[in-house]
Amino acid sequence: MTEISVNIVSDALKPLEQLNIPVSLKNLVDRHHQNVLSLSSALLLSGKSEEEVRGAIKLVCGSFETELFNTINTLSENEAFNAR
Amino acid sequence: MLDEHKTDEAARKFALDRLDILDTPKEEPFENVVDLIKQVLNVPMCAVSLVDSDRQWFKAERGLGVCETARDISFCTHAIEDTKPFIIPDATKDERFCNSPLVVGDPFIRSYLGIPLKTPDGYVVGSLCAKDKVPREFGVSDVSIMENFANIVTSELELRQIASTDALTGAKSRGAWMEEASSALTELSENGRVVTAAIMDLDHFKSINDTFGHAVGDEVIKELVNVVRSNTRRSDIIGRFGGEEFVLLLPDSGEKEAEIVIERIRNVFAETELPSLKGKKCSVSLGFTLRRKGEVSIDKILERADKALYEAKRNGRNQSVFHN
Repeated sequence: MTEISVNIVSDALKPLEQLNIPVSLKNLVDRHHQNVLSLSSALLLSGKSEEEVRGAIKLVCGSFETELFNTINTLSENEAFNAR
Repeated sequence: MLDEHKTDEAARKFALDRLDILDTPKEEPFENVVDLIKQVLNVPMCAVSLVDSDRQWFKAERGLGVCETARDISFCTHAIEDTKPFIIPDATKDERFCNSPLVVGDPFIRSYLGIPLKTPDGYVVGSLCAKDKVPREFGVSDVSIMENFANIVTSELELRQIASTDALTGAKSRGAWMEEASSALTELSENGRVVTAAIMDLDHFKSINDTFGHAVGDEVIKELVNVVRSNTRRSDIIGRFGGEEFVLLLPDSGEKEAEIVIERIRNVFAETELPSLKGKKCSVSLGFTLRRKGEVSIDKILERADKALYEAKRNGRNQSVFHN
């Protein structure tokens, strides 16, 4: 894992730091982090420029973030319905 | 030793059904992945392919121009037979594919790289694939990139599954049930088929919680869903609507058929013994109703089922009532 790929991923995942991730999603979020780190390294190793890799990782992380946000909202709603 | 995840096609198909992804509209995360693969691997065709019983259906695709093909001619049906990458450098030199209509005709696939898409419970539901119109040796770097994209696709699928499933019971969550029931209702209505909806509510659940604690209460809830599952078909849709209230949609079941199922659920559950309840039995009350001709609103149907449930509770619980 190069410093560049770590930086790219760290920048792309910054918005997730603001989110309060429920325990049921922590493992999935950690795996996503590992996946994008690994993807970032693989893309750099294949000869893609830092700019290209940054764009790809940003796109992938952006979609995940939106879905994650929706999932957290849905889980909160479900929790409210199931409260007893 | 045989890996049951690879050999049990019915369970694999069930895992795919649980994802509720087949025939859904295009979605940005998957569109982004195929765009990136096309660009990064410089391939004219790629897809997120989900392998159904007799077809492969593309959640996202580039360069193929169709949303599905027959399973028996697909490359992906071979890719899902293993958990390793499936690579065909030149389809014209492979006896499995050299006469395939996808090779000798449009879209003229010549080379293929497919990464199995594995669910968290170990079933391979499809593949993430890249295809070229010329012979191509997909290298280690291509495979590594595709494997990472495949992991990203499965994470996205997993997120959706978590959002649509009640964590305690595995039943559909309220929102997911409403969505699925509404779409099933529209389809059934268009084809003039009957459908029954039921609402069920555990009797005296508060007292179970108060007496035995919430952990035992959870156990009772899970047991009810187990009983419902064991006495319904895969096409029936069960959802948790809140606390101890569940909903069930029974497609192609009229009043009589539904009554048999509903009474069986009630009876089996009433006879169930849970050691943690120390001899105390539980029961469930149910209200059910038929979709009326031309009715497409699930809310209206649930309203009637709820009235029937109220009657069942008022009449002494542990019974089912049909609202005509």
